[in-house]
Amino acid sequence: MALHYLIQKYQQKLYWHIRKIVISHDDTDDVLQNTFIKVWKGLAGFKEESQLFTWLYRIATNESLTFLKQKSRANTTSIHPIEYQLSKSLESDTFFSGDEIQLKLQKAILTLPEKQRIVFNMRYYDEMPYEQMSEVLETSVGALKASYHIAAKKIEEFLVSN
Amino acid sequence: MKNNDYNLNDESNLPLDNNGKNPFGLPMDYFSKFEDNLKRKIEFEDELKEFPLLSSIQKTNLFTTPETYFNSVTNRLEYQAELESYSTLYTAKKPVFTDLEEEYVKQFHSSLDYKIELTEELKSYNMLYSMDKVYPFTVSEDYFENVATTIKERIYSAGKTKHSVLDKVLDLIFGKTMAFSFGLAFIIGLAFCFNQHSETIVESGEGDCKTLACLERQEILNNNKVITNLDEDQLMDLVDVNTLNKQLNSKKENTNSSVTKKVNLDSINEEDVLDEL
Repeated sequence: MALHYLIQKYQQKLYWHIRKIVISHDDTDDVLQNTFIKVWKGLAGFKEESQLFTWLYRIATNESLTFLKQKSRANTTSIHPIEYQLSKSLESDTFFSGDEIQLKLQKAILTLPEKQRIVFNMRYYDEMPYEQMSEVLETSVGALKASYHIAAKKIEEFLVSN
Repeated sequence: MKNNDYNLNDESNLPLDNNGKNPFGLPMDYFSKFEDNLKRKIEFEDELKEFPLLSSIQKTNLFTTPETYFNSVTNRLEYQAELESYSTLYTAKKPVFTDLEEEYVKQFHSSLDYKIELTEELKSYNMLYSMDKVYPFTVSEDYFENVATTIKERIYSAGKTKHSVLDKVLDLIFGKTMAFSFGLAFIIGLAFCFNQHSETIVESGEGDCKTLACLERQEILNNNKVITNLDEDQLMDLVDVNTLNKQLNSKKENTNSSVTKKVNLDSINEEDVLDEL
């Protein structure tokens, strides 16, 4: 019952958060399921030290990063880094409806290192306050601000040069 | 009061305003009704004189109306008349909107401030600021309807495939951990066995022959310091004289026999060999 409530309430937010990290819909579906299974397993041990939503976001982020690591390890045959592969999958994604400029922006985001990418997405798209991000990513507010600033500058440079 | 009720522009004694019109005005029938109004007033005052207490109280209206009530009356009447032409709308019950909750107002203010903060933050990045913040990824229509079911099925199937006790025991015996442990134990055992075997070879060598000649080269090297520290007498004690003699004698016999064989071959003539053939 509790799990059903959690899924109904948070599935969309978590889905879009994961989708921004792993890009492909099928991969997102896998990671989302794994996230909720982890939540279900750890629900009894949840100590309410942090907000429920923060806790769920943290699990989803960790699951997404683990998935990307596994994927890059499994793809030993490819000489390209995982970011390049994600960028390629973006172009062939049937569930991508953006125009050229949106595609360019997504490609620019994909040039960022994982952590910066997550910070940028959480701030730019989710408009999450730095304090909440700090709890999710277990990083200081100052570091997150710096990370966002660097990410935004890199994206600007990419968009201008392309 | 506006002067459109009774036009006094014809009165030559009154001053005119900037537009050439008289600024004062009166109700149209003021002078004709003045006498009647005065009579009625006197009559009313006389009537009230009979009740001195009542006439002493100042006549004021204690009731008030909302500030804009009289201003909106006309509008409301017009609106009502307009609405009457739409029968369905006229009969429909209007929702009653209550005042906004204080919490909502506070929340709205803070969220508005946060939006402004975000926009200000983005202003320093021209390209990002100029772009529409649209999330381009989509998902199939019924995807979110099925997620809960899929996850529950996965959890249920994981619970269903829980191993029985027998499975667990078998898994423990033939599992990876056990196989690894056995392998490790086998390698350690093998290494120990080799070690033991090499020690016994050395021991047996020492048992058969306790002479210096039987000592392995490595052992001599290992015990080099010990040997160098020994006296000549101690070294002589270590040598088993009888065994050494036997070995020397056997070597001598071997050399003797080979020599006799050589001698015999030399004594054979070429003719004897031909006869034999």
